[in-house]
Formats: sequence, structure tokens, C-alpha cells
Amino acid sequence: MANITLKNVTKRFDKLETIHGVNLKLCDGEFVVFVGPSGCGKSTLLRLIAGLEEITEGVIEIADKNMNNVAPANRGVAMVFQSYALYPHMSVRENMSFGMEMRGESKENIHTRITKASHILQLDELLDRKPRQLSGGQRQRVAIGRAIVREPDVFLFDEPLSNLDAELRVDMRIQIAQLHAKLKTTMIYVTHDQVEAMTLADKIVVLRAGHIEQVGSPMDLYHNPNNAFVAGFIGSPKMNFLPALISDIEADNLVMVAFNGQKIPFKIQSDKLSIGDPVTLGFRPEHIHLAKQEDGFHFDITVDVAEHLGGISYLYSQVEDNKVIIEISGENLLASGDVLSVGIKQSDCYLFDQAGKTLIDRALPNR
Amino acid sequence: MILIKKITPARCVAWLVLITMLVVTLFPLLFVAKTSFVPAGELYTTSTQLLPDNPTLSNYKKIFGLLSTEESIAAGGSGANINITTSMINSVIFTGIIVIVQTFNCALAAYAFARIPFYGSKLLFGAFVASMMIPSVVTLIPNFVLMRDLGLLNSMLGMVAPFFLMHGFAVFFLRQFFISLPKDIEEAAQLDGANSFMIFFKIALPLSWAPLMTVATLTTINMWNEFLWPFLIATDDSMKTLPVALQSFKSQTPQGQPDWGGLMAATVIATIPTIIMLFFFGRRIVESVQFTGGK
Repeated sequence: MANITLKNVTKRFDKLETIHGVNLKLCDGEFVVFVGPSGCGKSTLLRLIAGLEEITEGVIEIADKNMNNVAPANRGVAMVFQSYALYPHMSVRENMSFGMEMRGESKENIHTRITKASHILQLDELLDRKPRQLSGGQRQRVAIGRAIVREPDVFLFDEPLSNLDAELRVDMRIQIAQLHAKLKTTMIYVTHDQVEAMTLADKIVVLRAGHIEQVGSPMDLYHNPNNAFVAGFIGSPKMNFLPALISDIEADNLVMVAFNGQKIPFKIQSDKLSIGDPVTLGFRPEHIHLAKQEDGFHFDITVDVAEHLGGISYLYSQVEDNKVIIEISGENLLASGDVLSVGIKQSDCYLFDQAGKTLIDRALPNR
Repeated sequence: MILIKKITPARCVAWLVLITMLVVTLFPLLFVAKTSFVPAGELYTTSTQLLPDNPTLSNYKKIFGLLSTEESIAAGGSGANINITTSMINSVIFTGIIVIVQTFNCALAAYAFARIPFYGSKLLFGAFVASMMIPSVVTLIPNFVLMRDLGLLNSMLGMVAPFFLMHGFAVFFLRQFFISLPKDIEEAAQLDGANSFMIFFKIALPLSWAPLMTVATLTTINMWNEFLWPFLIATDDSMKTLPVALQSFKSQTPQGQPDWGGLMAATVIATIPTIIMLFFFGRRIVESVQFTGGK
């Protein structure tokens, strides 16, 4: 059982604290994705779990054992690096066998494991090649193969697809998902690409500036973000945010939110708001309709830029100096300069207070 | 058309300067080679010619001990002797030990400075770099006294001792290379269970083949030509290296009457390994000179 527990984990580089008392529990067999913008500490957190960096404070447990003073090789983890980190002077076979040789495994065992891993990753034909003779995708497969042959309790992936082109990225993403389904081992995957996070993860950990903003399933984060940061980070294109006001407060935390001369009721979770307080209205590009909605907001926009991708189109516009992106069907060939009246259903709206904290609890869609 | 475009006045001047420098550099070497094939009697009469009239191998036979003293004198020699085979073997052992041990030690030190943080590392590295500024002649007497007190005079160990531990330049040069090695590769090895020594031997060293060869080539040339220290330490004929033996051969004859033919033949033999090194590793030497900004 490779549960991973982080208790108050803090990392300081000299005086600079980059990870601030992180607490996290990951279950055996889960595919967990650490996601966040550059510099949020996701790779540092991964390196702390791997043992490549020493933690300043706190405890890291893998399979319920304290790993604070355990060498990286003895933590039962295998890591796939962004740069692949293959040994350039060794063949694919030697790259895969190096770790096992270091541990003094028998030649038969090494051969069996390499054959098995190379079969899974379709590397059989490449075993005698050097890394420089491989394409980017093949190198990444070798790096994954090197991790597989170790038969670790935990796989760690540090932005493994970021050096690949778009097509190969999708391909490898599917392969990694299939690998997880086959091996059923705990995997921690670091990325700044929220599409990778949404498609691969059982559980997403959103990080910002060394803090965990939210932990949850992809759908949970999409529908119920804790704050405007998570709401903005999860979903592509990102959520639109527009300023609104509390115009009235009724019983049972029912408030009226005023925007663009319209007032719509929202059931909120806070009783600390007053009439006149500013709030932020959030709505996703894919939830905007090209028609007025009976139970929601509507407003007019002028299209600044239209991007037609075939199946869908994106319209870029401004509403009171706030950028708004709209996703529409590709059949609507609107162009820049077109004036539209758009509407959003109340049930598709998100509401955040001044600090960015969410004010409404939204139900997850039924399966 | 393309050829005409490439020939510019600046290019012509550059070629002219390079050819002049090449001639100036190669002419003495050519003259040495020519003189080694000239019979003693024709030394002065053919001194203005590029090639000898009656080329002979007697100078080479003489230095390899294939002629008796009488035959040597009859062939125009001074009667001076040089044991070039023993000197050559001594030079090979002297250079070989230093090149292998010094390059290995420097690589170890450089890797430690590049990758293993320890207290006083920067200060110690600064001391290594500063050692490059100390002329070797300054350390000559203290080293000699130390070797004498240790009873290592006239021994190979005494000859190689001041050189084989470290060299400031080699440590600096290799450290810069180790710093540039991707850290991810070493971290991958760490996760694979390799300790610092294994990472050094199995990962860092094999990836450093080119800079190691550069350091080894430079050290080989420097040590092959090293004169002063072996001259001080090895007074016994059987311990003399080639540069020392050449000096000894020259000083055996009265001033003004040295055995030029024999001396030039011995010089040609002594130069051959260096020329071979330059032929195979010239590019590495140029790269290292570029790295240091001119040495």
C-alpha cells in the first residue's frame, strides 16, 4: 500500500520559503496531478517526495513510513524527468538496467523486467540504440520504461510531456493513462497544463505560491472551485470574471446580485456580505449563449477577434475593460466588429467575494 | 562566381599573415630535421640548403648506440654519448604516470567542487585557481628540499611527485565542464541507487571523455617537454628523461663544437610523440586554448 502523507511540509532555500506547511494525503493507486502556474512549487513538492530535496520542516510518509531521512533510491519511487534524463552514453537496454544493476539484481531478473517493460512500451526494436538515435517520443517512452522496470510503489512524473509536440503529447497522455490503468500504481504527475490535469487525474492538487489552493476530482474542481484562482485555472479557455454588486439581502442567505442593470437571486454560503458589497461574477466561455436567457444575465458585446477552429469558434471581446471569451459552435461564422447579445443562465454562474472565495455551492452533474 | 566573391582583400591579408607565421614556425623544425640527416663533414657547406646533398642515417645510428665511439668520431661525431632508448622509456613512464594520475585526481577534485557542497569549498577552489599564478620556479627549491629529505632523489617517485596530485588549470577546466552536465541525469542515477562515487565513475566520467582528453593531451605535451625538475632530481644517467639527456649530450662536448648531427637526430626523435599528439588531438588543444583565453 503506497499511501503518501505530507504533514506540514515546509521547504526553505536559504531564507526563501517556497513550500509553506503543506498537508496532503494521497491514496494507494491514485493518479494525482499537481497543477499550478510556473513557480507555484509543484516540482519542488515532487522533488521533496522523491528525496532529491531535503524538507526543512514536516514529515513525508510513503506507505506509512517516515521518509525524511531515507535516500531517494530507497523510497520506492521512480521518477520521469521533463528532460528525459537518459544516460547519453548508454543504450536503451543499459539505461533501463542501470538501476537494477546498482541494486545487484540477477541478470535473469533484469532481462525479464526489461523484456516486459519494452513490450508494454513498444521499445523492443530500440533496445540497442543510444538516446541520441531516438525521437522525443521514443526517449520519453524509454524514460518511462526505466521507471517501470524498477517496479516502484510510486511513479513521479515531472512535466514529462512538455518537450513533445502537440500531437505526440496527446498520444503519450493516452499511453500514460493506459499505463496507470494497467499497473494500478500510485502516480504523481506535475504539469502546468490543466488539460493534462483534467484528462489524467483521479485527484487534482492545485497549488499557488507554495500553498495548496484545492484538492479534488477534476469535475469537482471544475464545478465547485473554492476560489476564483482555481476557477480561473481549471477549464480551457479560462473562466470569465466580471464585477457585480450585492443589491439586496433576503432571508436564508438569499442575495440579489446586480449586473448590467439586472438583478438575479443567488443562494450563498456566507452571511458576512452587506448590501452594496462588490462581488465577482464568473462564467465559463462554453456556458455563454448567443441569446438572452430567461433566468440569467444578458449583455451586449462587440467581437474584437474571432478564432474559427472548425468545430468550435472563440470570440474575444471586452465588457467594461474586462476581457470576455465566448465559445460558440463552429457553424456560427461571426467576425470581428459584429455586435451580439449574449446570455448566461443563473445556474451556470459562479460567484466570488472580494477575497476571491466562492460564495455558492454548485451541484455536480449526475453521471 | 562564389569563389570570386569569397576572395576579399581582408581574407588575402589574413592568409598571408597565417602563411608567414606557419613558415616562421615550421622552418626551424625543418632545419632540425634536415641537419639530422647531414653527414658531419657537410654540416657547414650545406647550411644554406633546404635538403642535404648526401643524406645519411649515421646520426640516428649514433644516438641509438649502433656505432662504436671510434666509428662515431670517424663519422664526424664528438664522441659524446646519449642513451636515447633509456631516456625515451623514462620519458614515457614519467609522462604516463603524471598524465594518468594527475588527470584522474583533477577530475575527482573538479567533480567535488562542481557537485558536492562542503564547508570552505569556494575558498579551496579559489586557492586552486590562484595556484595557477605561482611560477613553478618558486616552488622548485622547497620541492627539492622535500624530495631530498624524503630520500626520493634519483627516483621515479621523486620525479613525478610534485606533478601527479593536482594542477590548478585542469581542476578549473574540468569543474566548468562538470557544472555544465545536466543535473537531471545525475539525479536519475541517484534515484537508480548510485552514490556519489558511482555517479562520478559511471555517469560523469564517461560523459567527460572530450574534456578529459584535452587535459590529458595538454599534460602530455607539458610533461614530455618538462626539463628543470627532472634535471634537478634525476642526476643518474639511467633516470634521465629525454630533455635532460639532450642537455647532457650537448654539454658533454666542448662549447662551440657540439655534435650537431647527433643532437638534431635526438631532437627529432624527442619531438615525434608531440607531433603525433598534435596531429590527433590538435583540435582539443585549440579548444582548451580558446577556453583559457590563450595560454
